Amino acid sequence: MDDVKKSSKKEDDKRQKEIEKQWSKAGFNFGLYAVFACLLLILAFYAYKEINKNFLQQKEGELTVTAESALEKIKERTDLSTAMYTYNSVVTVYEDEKIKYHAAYKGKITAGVDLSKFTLSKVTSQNKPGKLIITIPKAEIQDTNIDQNSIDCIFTNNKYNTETVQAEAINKCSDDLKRAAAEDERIKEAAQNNAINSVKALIEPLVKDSGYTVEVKVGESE
Amino acid sequence: MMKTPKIISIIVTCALLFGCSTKKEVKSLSKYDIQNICKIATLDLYYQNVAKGTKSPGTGLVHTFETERKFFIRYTGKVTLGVNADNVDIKIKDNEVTVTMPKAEIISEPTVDAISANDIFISPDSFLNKNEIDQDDQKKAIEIAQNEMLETAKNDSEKYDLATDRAQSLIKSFIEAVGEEIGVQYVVVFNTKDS
Repeated sequence: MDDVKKSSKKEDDKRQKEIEKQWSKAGFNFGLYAVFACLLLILAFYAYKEINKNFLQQKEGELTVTAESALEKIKERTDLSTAMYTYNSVVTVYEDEKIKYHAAYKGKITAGVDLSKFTLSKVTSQNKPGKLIITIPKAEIQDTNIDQNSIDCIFTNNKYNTETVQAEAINKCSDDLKRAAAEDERIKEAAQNNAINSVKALIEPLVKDSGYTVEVKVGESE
Repeated sequence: MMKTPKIISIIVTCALLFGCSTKKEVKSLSKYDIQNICKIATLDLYYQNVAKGTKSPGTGLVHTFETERKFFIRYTGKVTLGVNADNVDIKIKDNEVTVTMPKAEIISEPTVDAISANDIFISPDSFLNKNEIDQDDQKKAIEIAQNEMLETAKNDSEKYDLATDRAQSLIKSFIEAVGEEIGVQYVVVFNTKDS
């Protein structure tokens, strides 16, 4: 009876030891898997960071390329930045410092910006949204034209209303329009604003999702 | 034998955890962007114009010997043309983008800048009896100038076409640029609708 009991106890101890051994092995395996999983997670995290970094760099690059490609499409379209402005005016014609007549005329001034000469740069800094800077040349007067049939005069004395006055008035009006085109900044300002609006209208929707802002600067033409 | 599936499952989990957020965002066409182009792409037109007027001699004894006086008033002003963005719509079917939009119109009332004395040119007055052009006459002349400017702008169909064409060109370039970014060659069709 004692022998049976002893043998049964031995078997129990043996079973207990086997169970402990199995648990210990299982614990070791679990630990190994846990360490392996942690390593994989760390690896995946750094891989993610690197991929993400590269992805963002690629996105910024594409952003500039897309903006440049869009600008390339409009640079040949001179009509986008050029307009003919109505410039009807009056010129006073003198003789020996005395007013001979006032001549009213209808004129047109063509002004615009050569959009083919744009330059594009990108400014990025930490903690601040990026900015695309597009530099376009200054607006220039391209042409002036008067309607010769539109000339209408107020004479200070009828003696000035001669046969040659029409030819003189045409020259005076033409010179006045050229001078006004060169000196009057308002035409150039309007042309400049129209060009800036065209560029902004095209580029802003292309880059706004990336958080970029667009600044159009006016520089010297090449 | 069980090791390989476990490793795969861990990698898949990692990929699911981190991989999904790296999906590339592509620019897509939206009505909002097209409307924004129309809002920004306005056309400022600077006008310099001359209003012409005459003041007839008055009637009655006190106005005897008055003469008709002719005058020019030079004025400047600005009119802004643009496409009403609220009436713009887009439809995309495969690679064809149809943009329905009205023609450009005056979007800001014309303004006449203050007229200075240097901008008024008047024919000489009679020696015998003055037919003066007073403040009231000048006020009337400014009103004439304002109306004339509106009429000039309204009838300047060339400028409306320019503003419409300008907006359409920018929209077309925008759509094509977006198409290039996502690898689609869009064909842009414009339909005109009444504003």
